[in-house]
Amino acid sequence: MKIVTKRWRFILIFIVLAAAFGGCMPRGAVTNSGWTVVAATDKAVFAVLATGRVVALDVENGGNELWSYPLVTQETKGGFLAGCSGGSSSADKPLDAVYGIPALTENLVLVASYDHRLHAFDRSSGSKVGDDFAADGAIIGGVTVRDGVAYFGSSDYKVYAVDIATRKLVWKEPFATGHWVWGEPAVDEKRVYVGSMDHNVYAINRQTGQEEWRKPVGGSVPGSVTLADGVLLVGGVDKQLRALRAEDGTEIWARPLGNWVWGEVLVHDDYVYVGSLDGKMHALKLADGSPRWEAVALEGAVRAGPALLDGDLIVGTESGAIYKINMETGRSEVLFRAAGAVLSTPAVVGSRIYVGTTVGNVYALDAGRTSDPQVWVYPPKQK
Amino acid sequence: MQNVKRPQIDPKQLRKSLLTWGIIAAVVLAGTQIGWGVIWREGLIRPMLNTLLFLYAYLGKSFIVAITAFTVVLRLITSPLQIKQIRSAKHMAALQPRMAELQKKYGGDKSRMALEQQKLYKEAGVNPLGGCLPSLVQFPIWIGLYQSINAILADTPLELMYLGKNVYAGFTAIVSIVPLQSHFLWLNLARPDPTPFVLPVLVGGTMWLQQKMMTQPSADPQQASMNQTMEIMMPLMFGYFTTQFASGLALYFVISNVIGIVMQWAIERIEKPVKLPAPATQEPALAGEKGKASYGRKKQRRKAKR
Repeated sequence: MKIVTKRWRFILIFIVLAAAFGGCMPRGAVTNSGWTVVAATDKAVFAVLATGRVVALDVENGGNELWSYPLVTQETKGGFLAGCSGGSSSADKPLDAVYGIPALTENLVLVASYDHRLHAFDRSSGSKVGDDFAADGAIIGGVTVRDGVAYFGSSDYKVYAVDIATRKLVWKEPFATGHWVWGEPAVDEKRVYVGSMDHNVYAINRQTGQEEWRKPVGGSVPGSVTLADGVLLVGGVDKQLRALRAEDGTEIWARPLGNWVWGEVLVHDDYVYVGSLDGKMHALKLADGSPRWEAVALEGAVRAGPALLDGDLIVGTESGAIYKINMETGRSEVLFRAAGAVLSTPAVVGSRIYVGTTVGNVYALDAGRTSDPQVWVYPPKQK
Repeated sequence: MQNVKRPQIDPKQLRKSLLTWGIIAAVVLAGTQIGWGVIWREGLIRPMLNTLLFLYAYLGKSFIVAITAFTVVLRLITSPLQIKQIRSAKHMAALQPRMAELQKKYGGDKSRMALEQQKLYKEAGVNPLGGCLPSLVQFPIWIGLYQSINAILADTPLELMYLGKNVYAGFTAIVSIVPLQSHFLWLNLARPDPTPFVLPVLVGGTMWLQQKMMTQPSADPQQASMNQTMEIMMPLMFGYFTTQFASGLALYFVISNVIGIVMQWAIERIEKPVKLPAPATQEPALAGEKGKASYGRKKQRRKAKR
């Protein structure tokens, strides 16, 4: 009898613990915390942290919080049962994972999230503006805004065009591709260009949402496409960077780069700068894809795109090292070592560089300060 | 002068022990020099991940087929350990009646009981920990497989990036297969089962059946109770974990358990019944141990007189 009681006691304890933890644990992929993304103006840095919190930071006053969404309250603080509290509304919860850089309009900060929604926040107060637009799948890439319309892709295989003011679809229906659309679209007057994981690049009529052309590119396109001077630049899982004619998708050139090409491409003065997952930074001629200089080996995979600062490229890597690379010569130096991987493109305003890391920090760096470029870090380190 | 007998060293056992400790020393040395993360990634994760991708690419681009083939291969590789585990369990079961006798005889004297148990194990050629090694070996495989499957069925950028960095450079077929087809019936293999009971029940049920087949009856009531508790706890635990894991991993558990059940059934049919050697006659107590041995014998003689 004692033995039977002991056994059932174990089983009951297990069931209670499982119910306590199971009811409160989020289901889904373990590695889905987002990577901190930043957008900046000369007054504020808008960041979505890896925790899903959206913050506006004062660039001049040591990165002090101007506003935060959600507000940090008792209900939203930690504890293993925190996730179980069903009392708070959806507006009080942090966003799900965010991977795309926030888009800034005159009054709004637009954030696309893994929770399928396009969120809009008032730039000055941080309050939610209007209803969220909901896609049918997770939104991974950023949002491109043009003429009051937000264009973005989703894991539901579709490309959306949403009127920012009304939050309604501009097209009759979203444009459907054959697989996930994770990159930020490129948009010109006529078309929306986007890469899909179905191994195609699409050009979509901006007014009607109909396909104008599609081009198979040999592999999935996990990142954004870049448009410059009528040329579309597309990187992919096939380790190639391709240049296509934006008018009809004809391939101009293709260059193998060593590993997956995922980050945004920077185009400046007829040269193309892009990183690859093998930790190398490449510089190619826009006209024919020939190298400007030999690929520069960096510490750690390069997932994000480079930013431009006074003739230098600013690039973050998975190791947390932030490099300054001379655009003409390719000479590189480590500008700063951040805690956590840098997987999103830095924002540059004036001489300031703002960069987010996967552990939820936002750094403000001054490239002119050689000994210690860090101006501030958010959240500030406890003394 | 005391007649002290030196313990006999079995050369085969010595070679085995030296080899085992040699391997452990080599692994520890490599870990401290190269880094444990590197060993884990290069020694387990990358080979597993790339093998799964290879099977997926060349077996019809079906994750289910790939994971089944992988499980079969893994089970075949670890089958010698499984056979050893089954044999060890059968020997232990066959020893239960004699263990019960010892329990009756020496139940009150724990140290004597332990001594007699050791003698019995030695006579029968059984290592009571022999069944543990296969289970220990499986744990890092499960963990490695969990990480590999999460990486392969990447449906978040971080997971996809992890996959991209760990694919072997020469594996060109990766271009055509990424992202993997992650749907099977109603399941998104990268996500937990949306119906929160089908896979947990399958995982728990197959695990329970496999454990039931593997567990040998025990004469010790405490051991029997512990076995019964584990029979229920482990399936419940894994059934619960299934609600949190990617369903691709849960399917691996189901397939692995089913293959394990089939292998168990086959091995039980092939293996001959256990024949234990007859118990050796008791040696006279050693001079140095006279006090201890004679205490037990004195107690027996007193009992016999009564």
